[in-house]
Amino acid sequence: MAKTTADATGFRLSALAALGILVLSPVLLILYQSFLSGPFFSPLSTLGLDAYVYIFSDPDFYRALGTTVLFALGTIAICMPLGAVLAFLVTRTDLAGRKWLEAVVLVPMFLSAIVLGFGYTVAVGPTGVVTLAFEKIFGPAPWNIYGLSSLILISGLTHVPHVYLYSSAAMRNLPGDLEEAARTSGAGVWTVARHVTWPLIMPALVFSIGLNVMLAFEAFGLPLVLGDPAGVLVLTTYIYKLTTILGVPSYQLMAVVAVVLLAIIFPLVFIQRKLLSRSRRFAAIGGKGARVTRIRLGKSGQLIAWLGIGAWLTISIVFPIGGIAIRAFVDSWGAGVNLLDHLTLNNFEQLFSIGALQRGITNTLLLAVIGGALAVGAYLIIALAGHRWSGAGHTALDYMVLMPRALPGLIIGLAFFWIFLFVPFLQPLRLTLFSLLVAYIIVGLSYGLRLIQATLLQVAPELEESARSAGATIGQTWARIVIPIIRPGLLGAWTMIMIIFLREYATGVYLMTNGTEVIGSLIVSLMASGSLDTIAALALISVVMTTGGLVLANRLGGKIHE
Amino acid sequence: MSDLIVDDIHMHLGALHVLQGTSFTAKRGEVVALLGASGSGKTTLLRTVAGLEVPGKGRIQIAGTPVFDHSRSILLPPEKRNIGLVFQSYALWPHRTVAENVAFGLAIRGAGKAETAKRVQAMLEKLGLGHLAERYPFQLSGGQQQRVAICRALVYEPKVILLDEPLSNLDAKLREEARYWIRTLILELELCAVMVTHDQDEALAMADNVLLLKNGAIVQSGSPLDIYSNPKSRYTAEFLGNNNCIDGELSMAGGKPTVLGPSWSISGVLPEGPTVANGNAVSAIVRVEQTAIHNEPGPNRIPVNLDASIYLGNHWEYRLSGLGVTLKAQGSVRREPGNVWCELPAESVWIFPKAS
Repeated sequence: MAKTTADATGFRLSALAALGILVLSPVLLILYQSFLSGPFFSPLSTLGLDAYVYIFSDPDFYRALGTTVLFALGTIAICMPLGAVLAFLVTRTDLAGRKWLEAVVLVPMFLSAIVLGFGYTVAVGPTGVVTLAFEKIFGPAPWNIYGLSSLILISGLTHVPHVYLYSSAAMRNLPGDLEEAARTSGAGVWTVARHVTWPLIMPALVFSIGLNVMLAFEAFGLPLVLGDPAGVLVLTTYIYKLTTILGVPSYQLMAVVAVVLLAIIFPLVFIQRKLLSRSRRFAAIGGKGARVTRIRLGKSGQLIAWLGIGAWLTISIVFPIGGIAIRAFVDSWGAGVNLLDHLTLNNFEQLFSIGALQRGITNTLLLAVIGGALAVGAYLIIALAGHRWSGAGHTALDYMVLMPRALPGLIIGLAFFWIFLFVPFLQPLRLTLFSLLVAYIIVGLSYGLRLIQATLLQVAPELEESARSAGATIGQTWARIVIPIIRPGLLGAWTMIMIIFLREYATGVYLMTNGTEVIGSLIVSLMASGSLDTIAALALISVVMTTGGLVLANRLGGKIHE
Repeated sequence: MSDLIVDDIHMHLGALHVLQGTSFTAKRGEVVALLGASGSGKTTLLRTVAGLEVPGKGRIQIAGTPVFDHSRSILLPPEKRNIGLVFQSYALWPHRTVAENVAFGLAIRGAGKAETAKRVQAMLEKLGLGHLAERYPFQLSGGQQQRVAICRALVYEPKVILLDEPLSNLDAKLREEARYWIRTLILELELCAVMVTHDQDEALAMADNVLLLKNGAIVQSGSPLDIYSNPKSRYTAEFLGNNNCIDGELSMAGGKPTVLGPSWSISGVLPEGPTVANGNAVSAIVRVEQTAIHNEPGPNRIPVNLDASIYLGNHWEYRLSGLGVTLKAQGSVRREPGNVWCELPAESVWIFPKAS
């Protein structure tokens, strides 16, 4: 059916313009900065390709680029098969305890990567609690968590949930009758799997590959914690380290690497989007989730499956979270130390006695809870501006929303740091949480908008048309009909954005200043000084907050995707 | 004076010309039915009147006010058109009670609280919904939801009420009742109503004026009686009623148009006038209820074999086959298979050129 008469053009165009300024200003600033010979605010800077020449002749850059590619490929090679198998076990077999497993499986996805990374160092690092226990019994531990191979392994294991999420959705939507039709026409289980099941879930798997390549290119926390000590740099940590390497802040070089990242990731975002619309079409055949006949695993099958799942759960959830939990409550650590003698709450007391750390906790909560609500408000305005709007405006809006998806949080933070530092009337705002909030809103933009657009799509057009024909303007229709109807969806979106903002760490790395500390970025900066006690306490608080957010999301019906 | 004037409306959807210069008028105390198969453009036409679709060309006037005029660049949004629209799905707002749903149009128009409550209650009472005011839509049956949708569209006394397949979501019994009470209500309140339907029984039973649409153009319009018993084209003849169709050759011998078959001849009328030449292939169309079975030959009768009698509750249907024809007829008794004669009364046999 054709569209409702679109109006409110003024509102739509202003929302589009505001979005354009917010999204394009960081991107254009980075692009501009990359073509200068010095910082963009310095009168001595001249236009030119000097920065590109420098970066493209720096062997470290090529090393970082190569490492990043290797890191991405390795991550996929590990997480794809594991995630797909896990999804298969949960959705298509009679695996025992799958209900419980479903709830736990996604946890690593919601933890801040910097917290996870730290968790690994205190659990299986050289003096980690697991390493020490192992050495006590078996002698020297045969692993070293610092280095590219451990980085890839851990990244692969912790990205399993991302693959699981999409492939389990595809497998669940698979209509059982398609398989049954094949079975009754004489095909065996494996023939069905190859000719019916596999082609139908292919799009979801391809989509997951794209997503994980993107996530790997944007990864910052894990490479910083696990790669950097061994001298392994990826592109994001290379940007971060440029200042240290050169001794002076070299904005133009950072900008060049950011442009390179953007050039690599944006096409991926594009392809991913195309695939998504295709995979939706595939899912559409699914109908109403027909009952599936689950494959019986049998006793030995259950055992093998659970051994594998148990190992994965131990490595990707129990180790990091357990390590943090223990480390947060002891004050000393090392070989021959009995942890029970060193139990203490000092770490937390210290946290609450140091102003910056205390502020970090309140700021993180403020940004997540209130900032999250404001962000949802902003996304709602943008979503309404694009709601039942066709033509060039809508396409422009679509692309602008995609743009930030291609920028790692670190770079969005950096760009906004520059903007707040040098746009005269914005300068005072840099010292307030407002600057972080704006950057966070951009970081969460494409995800948050997708959540809200999905709920808006559920409002049948007649519900709006009947209000219009009863005499309501488009604004009255939105205010009295559409928004009240999608209120539950908005609440759900708020909880999801809350979780995203709670775990964010990279955006604040440059933007954070005295008074606007946030937990994640505090951990990044404390990483250098090495006060493990404090980091452990902060990390534990972050884990607890995220868990709280997840529980709330569950209560308020937050839908988990991506 | 007409309360609704729709004049030469054209609309394109991509390359498709979905409305091809459609015109009609409607006035107070009258129901106009837009009847047509799916894809005929009837719903699109209704939506252009509501302002939910924007036609490419033409003119629409509601109660003397032009709401759309392409040549004068007038385009009023739906909320400015003073219409009431009842959707096929009813489109009741799930987050509002029955009373709140109905009150919406009044609240938007700035009616006072007390007055709104009074008018809402009066409207609900009128349709027998007074006791349901505080319920939510999901707590109502389909028939009740439909009444609420009608209350909501009528309470602010719009100039024109538009109904999009208003009965299609009701079960068969309720539908027959609804046909009657909706028509009675429209006449009693002296509304100007336009309804869309694909169901000919609904159109014939409810409307004063039926417009039959095909491919976005009006094929024929007229009173139910007129459009049913005087079809001007083969499409109209076949769209309505339950029909027999027999093919043959036209003969104008003796000035009487006659269809010649292998072993029979049937005379009839040419609704489209003398446009077909002698000897051309034609089809004769006759309503099933006009055909009668006889045990002996006579004028305008075809010798056939009665293959079967089918019991349909209130009557029997006879399946007949003869040389080059298969026919249906109705009667009140069961008949044994055998040779009979089927009479097609000449004044009810419409002869059209054979569809190419």
